[in-house]
Amino acid sequence: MNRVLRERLISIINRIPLHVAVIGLCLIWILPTLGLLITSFRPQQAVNETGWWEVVKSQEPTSTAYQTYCTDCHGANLSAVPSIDLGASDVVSGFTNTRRLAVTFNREYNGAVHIPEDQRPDDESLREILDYLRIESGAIKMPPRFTVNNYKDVMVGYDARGGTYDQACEEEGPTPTRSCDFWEDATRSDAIFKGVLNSFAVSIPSTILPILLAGFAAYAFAWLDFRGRKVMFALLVGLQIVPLQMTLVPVFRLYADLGLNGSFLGVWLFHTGFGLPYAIYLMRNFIAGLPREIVESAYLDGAGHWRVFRVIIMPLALPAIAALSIFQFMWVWNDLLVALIFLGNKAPVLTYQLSQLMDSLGGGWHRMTAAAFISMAIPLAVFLLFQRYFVRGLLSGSVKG
Amino acid sequence: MTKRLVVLVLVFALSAAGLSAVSPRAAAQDAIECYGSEGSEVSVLSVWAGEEENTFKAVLAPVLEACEITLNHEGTRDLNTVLDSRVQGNQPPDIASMPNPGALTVYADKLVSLDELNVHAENYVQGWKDLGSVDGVWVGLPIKTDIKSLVWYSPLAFEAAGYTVPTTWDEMIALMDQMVADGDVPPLSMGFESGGATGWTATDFVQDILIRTAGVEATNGLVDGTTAWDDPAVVAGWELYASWVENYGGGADAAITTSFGDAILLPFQDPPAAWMVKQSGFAGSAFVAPNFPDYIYGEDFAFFVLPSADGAAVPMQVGGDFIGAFNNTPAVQAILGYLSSAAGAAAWAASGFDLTPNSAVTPDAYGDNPISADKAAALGAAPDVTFDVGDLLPAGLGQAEFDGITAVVGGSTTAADALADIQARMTEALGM
Repeated sequence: MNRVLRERLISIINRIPLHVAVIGLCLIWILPTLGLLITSFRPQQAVNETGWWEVVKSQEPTSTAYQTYCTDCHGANLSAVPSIDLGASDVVSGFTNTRRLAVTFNREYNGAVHIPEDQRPDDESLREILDYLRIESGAIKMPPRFTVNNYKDVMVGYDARGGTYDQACEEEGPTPTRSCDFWEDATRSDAIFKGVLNSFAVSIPSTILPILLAGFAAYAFAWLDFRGRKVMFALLVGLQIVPLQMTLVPVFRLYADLGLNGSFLGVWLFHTGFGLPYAIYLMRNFIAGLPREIVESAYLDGAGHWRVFRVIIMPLALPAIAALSIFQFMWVWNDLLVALIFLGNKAPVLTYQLSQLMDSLGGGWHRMTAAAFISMAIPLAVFLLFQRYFVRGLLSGSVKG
Repeated sequence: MTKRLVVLVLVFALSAAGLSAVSPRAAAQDAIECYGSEGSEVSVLSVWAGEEENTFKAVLAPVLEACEITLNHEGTRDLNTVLDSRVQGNQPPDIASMPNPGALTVYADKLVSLDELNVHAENYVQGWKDLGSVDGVWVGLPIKTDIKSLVWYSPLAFEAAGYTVPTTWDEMIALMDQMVADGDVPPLSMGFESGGATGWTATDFVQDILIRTAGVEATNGLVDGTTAWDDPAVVAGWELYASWVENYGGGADAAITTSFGDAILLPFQDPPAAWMVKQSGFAGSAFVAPNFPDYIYGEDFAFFVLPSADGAAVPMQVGGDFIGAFNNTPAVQAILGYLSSAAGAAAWAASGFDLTPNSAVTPDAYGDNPISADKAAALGAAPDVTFDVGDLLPAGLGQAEFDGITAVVGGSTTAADALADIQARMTEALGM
């Protein structure tokens, strides 16, 4: 009994480093993502002022600083000095920041300096006093901790450096490029839905095409015997090292001659070309690892190559296809460079539209977190949809004996 | 190459707002000429996305409407990549923006001479034309300019703390020392992180220091090699900058890791996290105003020109954007004709998108925009202008300058070593 307990204890202790590592890795990934997520729901000014981890901090203004510095003259009810009634919202709303309050300390009122230099509140107390006055006088409501404005702005493509779509609509009303009806604006050509549609139009064929072709090639490399098979395979694998950026100009020129620039077909072909080497490599290794017996018995039963490929290889290769689809889809979905060069604004994809939300000096940066989560949502859904293929062992029990 | 650089650094005079009154000529230019472009399309590629794109489109709106031109504008911050592939693939845009004169050199043989495009050449002073010319051919229309020798601060914060705006170099240093003594630190917000271009705001700052310590001629001489980069005066300027980062800017780590955009906001936070920031004119309109919507220009934020040794006005450091045309079509002629006209100058000035180099601009054109009006006045008050050295350097050297100053501030090399390295590359580039 004692021995069993001891062994258990030892095994638990032995696993501690593993657990620490796993938890540590999870934190490293999750913490920044969580930070981004929280930031994406915060108003621009709050992001400027405090870090996302301070979002849980109490915002209730306290009266301590006010009592220390101001009660003597202005009274506990804020209104003891009639000429400067700190309980009146129109007086307090003039103090848009603490410096506007601080400059009054130097000034003389009734022949005396407002607050002598050695008795002035420090920056933090000053802030506390102002927050307290704002709330008590009703001048400014505490800004909401969270907002969906960043998401709304991104969805309608509102790209001013400051302010929000809602504010602009309230203050300026509709313009030729903005109807102020949210759903109408979100479906305009320069807004999000068009971008999502275009991204799908680029991503889906760019995922299916290379995988389909890679499947054919992989079957040939794995099961057919022809001259130069190994050399060709090595060459294909080697093609993976060609940097995409190096080929932009030559391919652009070729497309210019063929009239493919700005067309979906051009982007499909480009992504297919660059997706193929890796896809063939991965598919061949997977297909070559399938049990020889299954394929050979199919041949013996009179199945041709096409039938073996369609009925046996493809279904068995589903895990590889699923994994590849995820990689390829995410790569194409997140791609900006290829879409920028070959499509541009002719068919703006999501990444292109999101990049348009920021100006050359980085203005509009506060919407980027929301933009990131919007662009992340669809690949995430794809991943969740396909991830069961990762774990499911399709081959278990297919060959007995 | 050398000849081209000599042409570039010719000190040029810029007649800004306040110097030219409305002339009869300007009135004649108000009519928009279409050159038969009605119903055609024009493609424009620029670095302006987001709000800048909207502003640019708004400036162009009158000519597009009058001539029924369809604008196909693409704004991308990866201008180099996109423009390069389009030009090399023989499908260049009709018009492209060039963020600095160096870009004009690269595409010089593909750009259409502006003399063939019905541009109102009389509205540009020779200095600007020289900057936009390659081998004597004028290919780059100066479209906007920004002044760089500014220090942004909060007048109310200064008043509350009892500080006054310095008028001489010594007063500036005394002010910063006073702030340090009072515990109002850091006096200067010196963050200059900017991704791959980290260091560009630092080199702008250093150029302003050099103009004031080594003189404007020595500073301009850095471009064509008449001033050696490892000249003792330049080394001293770089060392002074690095020492300011240490003493007044919150230290090297903060300077290198704080983005220049965040650095602009620090003095205006509530409570302030710094007291002044030396930054170009865009800081007020593109950063402070949109991030602090209830701040009032002139009270909550304002600027002064970095003072000189004796307080006298010194040449203003400026940067500028150009546009070039790759195709000669009626629509291109209509657009460039409009932008270079008095009406175009007025529209650009009114947009608040920095300043216009177009000398047909009238003082009241900036009227609705106090920040632009004050910037134009500051430019008008300067005896001369001097172009951002980093933007004039041969390809690659601008980046070397950015990397050099970053390394010096970070302490991984000395100013003397970094500058000797730049000088060696400069010698090579100039073929001397």
